Amino acid sequence: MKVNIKHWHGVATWHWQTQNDELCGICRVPFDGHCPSCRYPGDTCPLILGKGCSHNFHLHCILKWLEQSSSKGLCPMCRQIFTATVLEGVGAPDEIAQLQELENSHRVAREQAEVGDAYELPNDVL
Amino acid sequence: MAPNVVLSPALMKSIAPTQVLADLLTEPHDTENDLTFLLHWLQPYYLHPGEEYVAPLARIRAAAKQCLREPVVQLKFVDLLVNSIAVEFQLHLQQFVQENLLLSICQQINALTAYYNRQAAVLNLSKAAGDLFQRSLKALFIPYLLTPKVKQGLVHLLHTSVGDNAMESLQSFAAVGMAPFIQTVVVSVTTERIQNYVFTTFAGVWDQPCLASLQQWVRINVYPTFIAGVFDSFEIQSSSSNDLVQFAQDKLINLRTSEMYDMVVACNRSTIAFSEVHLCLATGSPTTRTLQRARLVDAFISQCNSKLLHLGSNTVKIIVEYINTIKALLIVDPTGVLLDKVARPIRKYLKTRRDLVSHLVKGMLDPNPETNRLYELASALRDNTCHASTAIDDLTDIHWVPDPIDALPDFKKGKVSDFVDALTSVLPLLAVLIDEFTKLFAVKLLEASDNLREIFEDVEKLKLRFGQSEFATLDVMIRDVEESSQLNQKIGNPLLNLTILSRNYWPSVSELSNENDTLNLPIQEELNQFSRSFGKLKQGRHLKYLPSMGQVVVELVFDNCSKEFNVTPSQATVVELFNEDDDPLSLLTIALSTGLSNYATSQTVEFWIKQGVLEDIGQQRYKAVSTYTG
Repeated sequence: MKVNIKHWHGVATWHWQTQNDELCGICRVPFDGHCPSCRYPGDTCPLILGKGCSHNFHLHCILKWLEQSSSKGLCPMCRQIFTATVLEGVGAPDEIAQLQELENSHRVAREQAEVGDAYELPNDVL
Repeated sequence: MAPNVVLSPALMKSIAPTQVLADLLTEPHDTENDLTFLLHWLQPYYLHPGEEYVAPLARIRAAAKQCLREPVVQLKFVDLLVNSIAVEFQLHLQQFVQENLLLSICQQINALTAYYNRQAAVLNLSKAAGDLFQRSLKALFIPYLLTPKVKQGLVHLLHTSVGDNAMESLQSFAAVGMAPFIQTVVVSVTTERIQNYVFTTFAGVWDQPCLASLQQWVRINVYPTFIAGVFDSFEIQSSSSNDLVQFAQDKLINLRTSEMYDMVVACNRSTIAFSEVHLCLATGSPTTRTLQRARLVDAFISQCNSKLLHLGSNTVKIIVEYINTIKALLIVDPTGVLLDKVARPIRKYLKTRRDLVSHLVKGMLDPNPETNRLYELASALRDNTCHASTAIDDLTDIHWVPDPIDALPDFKKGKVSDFVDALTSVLPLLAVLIDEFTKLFAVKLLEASDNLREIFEDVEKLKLRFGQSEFATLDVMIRDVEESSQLNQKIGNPLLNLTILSRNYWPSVSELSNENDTLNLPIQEELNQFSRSFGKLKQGRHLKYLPSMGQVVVELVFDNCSKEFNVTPSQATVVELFNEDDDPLSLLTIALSTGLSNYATSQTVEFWIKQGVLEDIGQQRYKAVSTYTG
């Protein structure tokens, strides 16, 4: 007997490649789910991996976090400076751009504060 | 001690005997006496059939005048005369009534009354005495005629003939003061006739109009006898035929009430009957209407309880009957109040049925009446005529009307009338239904990769009905399927197609994806390639294959023929082991080389043996057949 496989219709699930956690630290929804402001998981609600730290968030969640000036551009979990690993083709370009802009503005703010601190420090000490 | 004295007419009579006219002649008189003449002429006091009235001589007229000059004497004389007649009646009339038919009784009554009236005319009585005589005479007749036999005769007469004969008999009975008695008889006979007619003619006749023919029958066949029987001219009014018709309608409602459940079961062909019930209820007087409506509700509920709402009837049947009930009772009572009342026990019972949800879901999705007994749900879903759920009264609505007066406090307008709504509101939560839909669609979407169009349309209809936001999960599932097909086109593997699921959104998949079952697939190479392509197309993501799901088309080429099978991946994997290999394989070998569990392996092998592809050669060893025989 000879066996020819004519057609194979399989079923698979997709998963974000993440290190450890399963849940977004901000919205507490699984990474493979969608953030509270989205309707569909996956392409339209991508996951952003932290470069400096190992924490990952939904793009929209981290955007909301970074939009607050009080976040100071830090990771909400470990308080390190948050920088995103941008993968090609992940997330809408404008949202990625917005993310990078926010990161930049926070960096600028931090640098200015550092300069200010350095300048004003002697007065404080005095 | 002396025995108790029992008072009886006989005893009393023995003490004070009735005085009759003959008592006036106890003493010997002159034979030429006026009184003797008169009394002699007045005899006999009872006229047997065939006997003739003897006209009085002038001498007797004069004697009567002479004797009965004084008014007081007249009254006393009448008393005595009546007593004399009473004695004769007791002797003759009682027996006559016993022995003869109604018609001859009537004739005898007529003859007697005529006889006594002519005698009375000769006596030249004053008005008071004349009235007394007439009254007493009637009173004499009545006890003899108020017998079961006469009543029976009357009933018979009224049932059979409507002609002048019957009228005459009734007249003669009425003339001797039997009118009230005849009225009761006539009324009871008429009632019985109408009732019999309604119950024999219209029972089970639900698909043609009955009301008009009933009215006609009452007016033509019943009313004339009825009116002849009810002599009292005060009560005869033009409306009395309407009253009879009304009565007949009440009987019709009683009949319909008793067969309500069967009518509902045969809902589609009893529409006319329902609208007639509606008409009858609407035209009845307010008091009877309330009573009839209450009775209808009670009767229907008890019929439902004994015929439908028990363990013997399956859920689909109950749902079907509930839908029928909704349709039927909305015809009977368009306000929905009756429906609201009768639906409550059904809904309460339906709540206890666990399989309600799954039947509802299946029913709503399959519009084919042959495969789906609940196809009406599906068509209702597809019609989708203005589904506006107004849970709260709109206070600015200028056409607002209060709830009907007999509605229960938690009556909801429109809530009961729409049967999709009515059924889904039985469920404690809409989410239960949505979950069931999601489950069903999960299976459908994975199975049917071709006719997705239909599924999408169904989902759109459900959204229109139950609200857009309820189906978020389903939306994700549909998008997964759509995206997968796009992705498959992009990757363009001719052999392998994958449906890629968002694992958190597919019921039953989320558990599967956690399982770590490995299967050594024959298409592992293609799968790896597919995964790599996926990784490139969708950065940052990887695939996890679910070997227990999907379908495979395999073609088995035998020596004599080739045959295609549509099988599961594990079945395909097992049969692939026998590819161009005629050596037998043991169960253990198969299990080890596929990675299936022992149990799953034996199941799969069992499947292929049943298909006639493998054969068991003993000691748990199997071998592919060389020629396929089917």
